[in-house]
Amino acid sequence: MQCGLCTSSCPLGDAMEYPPRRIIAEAWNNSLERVIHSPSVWMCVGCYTCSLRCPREIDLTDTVWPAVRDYALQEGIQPPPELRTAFQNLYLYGNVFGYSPRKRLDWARNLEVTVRDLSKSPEPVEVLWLVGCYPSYHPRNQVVARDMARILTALGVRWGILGKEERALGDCDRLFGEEGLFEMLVENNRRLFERFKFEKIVLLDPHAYRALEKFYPRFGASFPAEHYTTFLASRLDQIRPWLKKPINARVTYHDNCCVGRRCLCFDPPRQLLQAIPGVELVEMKRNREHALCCGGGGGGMWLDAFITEHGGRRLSDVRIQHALETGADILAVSCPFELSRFEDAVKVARAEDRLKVRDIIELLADSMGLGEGGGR
Amino acid sequence: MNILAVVRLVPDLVEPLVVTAEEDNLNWDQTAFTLNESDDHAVEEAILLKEKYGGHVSVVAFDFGDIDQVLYMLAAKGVDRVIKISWSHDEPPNSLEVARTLSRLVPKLNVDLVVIGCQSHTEFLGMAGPQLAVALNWPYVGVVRGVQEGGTAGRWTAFKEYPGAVLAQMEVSLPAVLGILTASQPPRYVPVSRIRAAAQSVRFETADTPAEIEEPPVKIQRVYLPPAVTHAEMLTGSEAEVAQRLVDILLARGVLK
Repeated sequence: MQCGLCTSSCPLGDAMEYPPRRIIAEAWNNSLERVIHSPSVWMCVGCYTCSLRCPREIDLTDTVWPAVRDYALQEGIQPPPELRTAFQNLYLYGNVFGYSPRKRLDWARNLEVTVRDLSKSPEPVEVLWLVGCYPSYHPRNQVVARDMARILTALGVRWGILGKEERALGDCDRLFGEEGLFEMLVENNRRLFERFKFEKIVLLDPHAYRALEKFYPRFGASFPAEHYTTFLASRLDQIRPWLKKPINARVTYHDNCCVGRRCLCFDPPRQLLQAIPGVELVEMKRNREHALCCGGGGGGMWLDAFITEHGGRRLSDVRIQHALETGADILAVSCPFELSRFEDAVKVARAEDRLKVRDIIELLADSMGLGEGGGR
Repeated sequence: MNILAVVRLVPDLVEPLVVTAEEDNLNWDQTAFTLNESDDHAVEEAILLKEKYGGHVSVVAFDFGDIDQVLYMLAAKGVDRVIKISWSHDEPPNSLEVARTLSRLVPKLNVDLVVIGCQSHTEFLGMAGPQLAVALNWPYVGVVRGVQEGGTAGRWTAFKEYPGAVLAQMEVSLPAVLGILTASQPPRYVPVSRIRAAAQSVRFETADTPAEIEEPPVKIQRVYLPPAVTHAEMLTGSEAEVAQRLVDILLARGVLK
């Protein structure tokens, strides 16, 4: 079947020398060696649109693209430099930034709520919270991590983190064909998680959640996991009495690709936003399963310069126009990549005075009287 | 051509450096290590030469820190032979120890070319390469950014960087020692699956450290972290005012007298 829906759905398909349909054709023709030398290999941002729309349910995002990239890597094709650095940092330090694992807890410095660092003092917890690389290290996302800690504590959740022992889960690396790196991370994380007693894992990063939920079990590493949007939405009755401070704003929500298109989870984030007094939720013209990707998935976070060079645009710049068209005051997100991507895009659009980018956690924390005000 | 690449571990600045209470050295127990960057380039240049002209690449390293993981990675990149030199000290070898040890090992290896990073955090003034060349009585070219065949009378050409954006072509007779600044292309990325495969298949050869190694000619008097400063002063005003302020600062700091 060659309907070409994959290519016509791809947000960068027009800029690819080898869009998804052509890659399949080249594979049939036994000429994938032509493909692996093309920049197209590194241009898929893992948005999953092609996979969701394929009438034959061919999972291009999770199987075909990683396989082509794995082939390229095994043939000695060098990934773009930014991505190469991210891979090396993950291999050496367990985070994409190349920072010391000992600094994983810097986000919690001077935090007024108790942080159970299970790496120092193992004890059974209800929630093992995997903070994630961006919320641990990235200053803008550290605000979100602190707000999450306050919310969990306010809700009476017995939670703990892994401190300096936490490592990335590796979803983006698997998508980018670095299967060996992903396997290494899975093996290390499985051994790590098995040392602790917890009821479930909660994650801020939807990519990590997706990896843990779908791909870790293939390596015998099955752990109950939830993205924070579903975890908090399931406790909305408990949260509601806390939501006293109104946020009088028009808010639009960007469905991230992992929780949205991949897990078909569209309502819980909206339920959280609509529970906040004063919030008027408006939708972008592309929403839910048709939402446009921010461009950061599948390793795209470390390929901005490369994709802009070969694709002619940043998807986050396109997406921010969708948000601006709604007249929203706030663009709400639920993925650590998106805060920095969309805040940059707002600056590019010169719309800082019209649109703020906030994580749902920040909005909840502000309404609960616990937040830091979003940092900006 | 048989090429020997020397690799060393250096303190990884991702972790904070800790100085001993006596301020005479780093606290090695609390130091993380990583592959010396210019040694990484030296290995890459060696592999590029092998791919272009044929031959074999051997790597030699002191058995220090987590060197095995580094050696597996280099083997996955295309190194043919890995040699570990026993090393039982708490701190990495200094340049003279590297040079003296290798000067006794190299003649046994039938090597045409030794490549080594032209500098390392663990040595003073990038002397390991020159000291090794002197000990072997081989020619040395340092700050090299690429090597190719094609000099006169069978010699090779090393591209050496000089101040003023000058890139000199130095003809060198083999055997020789080259101090590599950067390889002709960035060190290649090798997939982790290849590294893990190498860890299963690569066998290290071992070599002993000579019993007696001379004291280094440079004695460290004090090791300390750079003092933290609280601000930078921006000089403003006319050119004359800025120049006068600059002179005042240099006089006050004792730079000018």
